[in-house]
Amino acid sequence: MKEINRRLFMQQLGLLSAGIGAVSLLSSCYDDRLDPLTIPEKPFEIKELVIRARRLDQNRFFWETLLGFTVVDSPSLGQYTLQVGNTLLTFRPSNLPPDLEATFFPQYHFTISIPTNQIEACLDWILSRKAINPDTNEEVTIPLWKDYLNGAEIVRRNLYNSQSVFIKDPAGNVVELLARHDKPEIQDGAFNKDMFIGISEVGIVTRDIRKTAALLKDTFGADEVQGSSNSFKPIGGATGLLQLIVPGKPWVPTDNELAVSHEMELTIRHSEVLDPILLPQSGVTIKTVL
Amino acid sequence: MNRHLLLLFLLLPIAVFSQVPGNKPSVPDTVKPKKNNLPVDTSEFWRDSLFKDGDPKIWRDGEVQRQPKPPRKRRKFKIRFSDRVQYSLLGDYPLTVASGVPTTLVLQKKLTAWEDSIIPIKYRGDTTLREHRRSVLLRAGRILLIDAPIETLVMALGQDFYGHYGRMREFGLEGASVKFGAPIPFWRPMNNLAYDRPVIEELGSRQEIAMVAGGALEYNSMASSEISTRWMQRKSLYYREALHFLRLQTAAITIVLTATNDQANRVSAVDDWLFYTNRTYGFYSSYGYTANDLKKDYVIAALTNPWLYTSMYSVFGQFLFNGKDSLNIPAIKLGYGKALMPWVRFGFSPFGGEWIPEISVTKHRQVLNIYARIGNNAFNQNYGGGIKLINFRRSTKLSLNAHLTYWNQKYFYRGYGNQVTEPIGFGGAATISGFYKVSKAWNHSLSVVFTAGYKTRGYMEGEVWDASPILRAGISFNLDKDFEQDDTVPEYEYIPNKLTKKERKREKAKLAKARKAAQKKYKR
Repeated sequence: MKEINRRLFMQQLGLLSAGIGAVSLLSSCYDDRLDPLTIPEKPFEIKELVIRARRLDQNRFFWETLLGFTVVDSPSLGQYTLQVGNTLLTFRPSNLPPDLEATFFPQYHFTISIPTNQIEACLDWILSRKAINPDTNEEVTIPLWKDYLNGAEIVRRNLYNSQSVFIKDPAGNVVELLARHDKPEIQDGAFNKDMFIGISEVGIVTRDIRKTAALLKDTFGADEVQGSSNSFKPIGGATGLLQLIVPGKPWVPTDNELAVSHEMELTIRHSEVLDPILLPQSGVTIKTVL
Repeated sequence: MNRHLLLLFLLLPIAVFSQVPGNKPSVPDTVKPKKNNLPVDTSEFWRDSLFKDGDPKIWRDGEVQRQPKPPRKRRKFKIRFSDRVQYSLLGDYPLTVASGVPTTLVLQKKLTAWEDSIIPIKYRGDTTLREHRRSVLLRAGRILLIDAPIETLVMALGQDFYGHYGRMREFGLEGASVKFGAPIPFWRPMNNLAYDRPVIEELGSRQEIAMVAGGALEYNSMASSEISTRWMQRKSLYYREALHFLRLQTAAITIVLTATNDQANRVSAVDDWLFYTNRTYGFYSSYGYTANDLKKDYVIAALTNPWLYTSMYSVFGQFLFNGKDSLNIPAIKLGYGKALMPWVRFGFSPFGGEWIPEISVTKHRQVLNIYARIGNNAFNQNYGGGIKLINFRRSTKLSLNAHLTYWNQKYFYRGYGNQVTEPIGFGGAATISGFYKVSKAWNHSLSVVFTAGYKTRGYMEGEVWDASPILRAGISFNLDKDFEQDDTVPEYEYIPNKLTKKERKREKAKLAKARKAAQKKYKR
């Protein structure tokens, strides 16, 4: 009788270990989330982005001559505003001391939307852009941020169903040229500077993501992207998204360009004009226009 | 008393008939028992009874005679109808590579048979040295002028009609055309796919076009695997199969070795496959997975495949110089009727290259094939595996095969302007296939072939990409030469007794003891 019990016990133990093995094997297959995230309907309508930058002259040459954006306003020395699609992008001089600026320079991440079907043509156009910098007399091209994982030039983000090309301006910003496939916007013909739709996403570095998200939800009625993490929380819709990120997390697609909060002003279209809102622990001010 | 007599009358027959078998035969006399149904082979029974007593016999004069031990016998494996390799003409929609591989192999076999019936492989009797030299020349001429071009044509049909165009039919793409060249030189494929890029890129995603470009090599890989499995089942190979295998390998190796990273001047389908898989994963101005990476991977897979050397030996060693048209496979023997063979293939998936190590175990014309699919992680991680059971149900009329496979893949991309991302994840497929003999009226017996199963969304060699039922039907023939040798009577194979050293020693001691005892007895 004892023998039978022992045998049964061994059988059950074997079955149990086989079951545990099978479950762990199956669960390992589901480690990666593959289904796209649900992006809310209501977007932020970004009208203007004001950021600080180092190497302003080189930066102006890059944005105006290489990328071809028009400077619409240049009110003071060094400061200039560019028309990027249907949005404005203003660069102001960095307010950091020069010795600190070398390592702790203002660096931002923002996204300019392009037509869905033009991502390869856009990259082709980017790679073909060349100009002689009159100050240095050197030929300047547009450098790319490649995917740190495999070196791809067009970075595909399947959870957001999008493809992006990341360019690096002289100020060191991570500028994303984004083709989002959820709501395709198709334009035929060869790619040119007029095909940039506008700034659609801005990265906001904050230590308190929950409080910032709650503030944005309460003020603008925006929703967060379901399934996003507590260290990276996009809020808004497909055509206008504020990406809340904790400091120290690397900007996509790099692994060493860490997010640090710097002064930023963001103008958003809203149903009423509100007093400027200072987002907590981020240095970001949001203004509203009708 | 009468009552007792009555009881006896009633019970006696019951008692008698319940103990003794009835005198009526279980089958009518008019029906002769079939030879197969004989429960005992009586001749063997009487022969074996002679060897029942294995003890040494002592004669009156003290002579000791050891009776021989009966030889061990075991039942020989009976080759049934289902154990024969079937040559199937299969059809499905959209005429996938999975249906194309057996179909083109039927064509190849039939052309081979016709050629063999017309042109001899030996000059006269091939008995003298002079005749032998002429035979070698005859066979060399045959290979160069007829065999190799035929193999090239069959391969081109499979690669284009089923490989490239199968995927185009599946995705509804247009804008590609095949350009044919001469079937000579033999190491190159005679066909090449050309694209109307604006048209095909408007209709399909980069990944879909990569699958179209990889269609030919997908056919090559599947056809090589199918031929290898047949060799395992039969445990022998025919030289024309070996030549076809070689042709598939040389075409693939040549086209891979001539691949370039030059995006503007893409020449072959492999160049296109490299271009579109790299484009799918965002490598635009330079490749993440380069032509050199592919060459390294493919050459390792091709040169470590033992079938390559086996087929080379079969064609050039055995057929060309010795005139032998068949060769026993050099598989690792595991026992009576059991053998094992491992090999590696390289697959051209839309997620990049993948290694397919296979282990095939055969046991009396039943084959178990276990394989893994390991992505080379050039673009993203994907893996899988599967089990194939060939002829797991054996009978005189029906044979069944099963195929179970699983995979873990990431995404599939459809369209380009209006791109749709389809997550895949963990998926799999299960199919049952088989054939049922319907007629022996023809020269070669005719069977109905079927494949039924289901696959979930994901890439599987030769099958459509979408989640769908797998349904194929057709007819098959027994075209192998050994069909007529089919035996229906069980046979026994006698194995000579070989005593071990220990047994021999024991036997010697036993004999010595018996002899001593006998001498003592007769002295007295």
